[in-house]
Amino acid sequence: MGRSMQDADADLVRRAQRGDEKAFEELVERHQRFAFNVAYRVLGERREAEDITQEAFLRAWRALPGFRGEARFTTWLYRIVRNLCLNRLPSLRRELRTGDNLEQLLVDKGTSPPASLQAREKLAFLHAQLPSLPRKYRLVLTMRYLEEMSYREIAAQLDLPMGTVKTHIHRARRLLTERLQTWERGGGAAEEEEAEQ
Amino acid sequence: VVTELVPDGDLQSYVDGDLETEREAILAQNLAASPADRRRLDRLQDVIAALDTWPIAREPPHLARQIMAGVRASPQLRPVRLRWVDLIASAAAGAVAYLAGLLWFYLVFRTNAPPQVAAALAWLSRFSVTAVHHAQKLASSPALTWGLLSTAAAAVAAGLTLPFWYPTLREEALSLVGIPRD
Repeated sequence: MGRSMQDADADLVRRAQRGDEKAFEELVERHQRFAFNVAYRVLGERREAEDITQEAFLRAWRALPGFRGEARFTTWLYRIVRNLCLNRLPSLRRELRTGDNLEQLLVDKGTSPPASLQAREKLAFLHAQLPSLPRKYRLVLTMRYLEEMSYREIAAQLDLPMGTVKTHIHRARRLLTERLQTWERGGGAAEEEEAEQ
Repeated sequence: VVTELVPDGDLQSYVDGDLETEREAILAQNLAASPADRRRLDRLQDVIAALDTWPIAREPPHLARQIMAGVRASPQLRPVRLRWVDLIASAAAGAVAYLAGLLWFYLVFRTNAPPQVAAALAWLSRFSVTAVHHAQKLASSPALTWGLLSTAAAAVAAGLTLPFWYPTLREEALSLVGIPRD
């Protein structure tokens, strides 16, 4: 997010803190899509993501006079969204602390491969795989790639050791890489591999 | 930069996510020795590209309207700022309530109050609770809420401690909860 966007946010937040509903409405217009996507990627349900986004903005509005502005508004807002997601899925907190039997996860090779190996199709294949990842992976990947947080920030916000965060991200990527490999083999990438050898 | 970041071509540590940014791992592919490593890094690059371009879903068109309807119906929570004057006023109110509470319980326990007095005291008690309840709802400042809470707490404290100020009352209080006198 650019500096001018942040400054504009800060100004809107100051006005909203004084009870200016118009200013808050503008904040809603600016950030509803990202907030919705954070919830949607974790929960995987549009309706639930809609409820969570609505509740998050409502909580933000109520608590706004106490917001000190030390963090960016968006950081604070997405944190509310994540907390609501974790409240909605009590088992997710437990799942985040535990490892997975990755081999078991790798058994599911994802959707069947199309014939062509065009780069666009490869990307589409990978995008189609993302919602089927375990939700704890979706949460950390969203924080990393949508919110562009560092491993350290993710660890702090989820109250997890940094090693656990790295492991989740690594395993999520490995899962996707393995599925891509299977897909490529099914689509004729084997020929390319043979050529390389 | 890459040669500084890749200690002795330790490719596996990059693929395992030991680095803060995956892009550095992708840069390291130039140092990859075998075609298999190159293929592996190519796939990793594809995966990261997919994560970077994870499609953003469009929110429902009515979402902002719903949010603002909720906002208009919800008051903001103003932070409570306690000042010394609030604390002193609360303490004073608490002290007065404590003394009043002592007198109250003294009258109830110590005197042989006729039934009408007892009934009046009971009615006053109910009235007080209702009054406190309504006052709290109407309280425009946190100081008033704190004052009322401290007053209520002091009144309860008076009731609980009175028997210890008056030993005879303590015996009566104990008898009330089924512990007989000597």
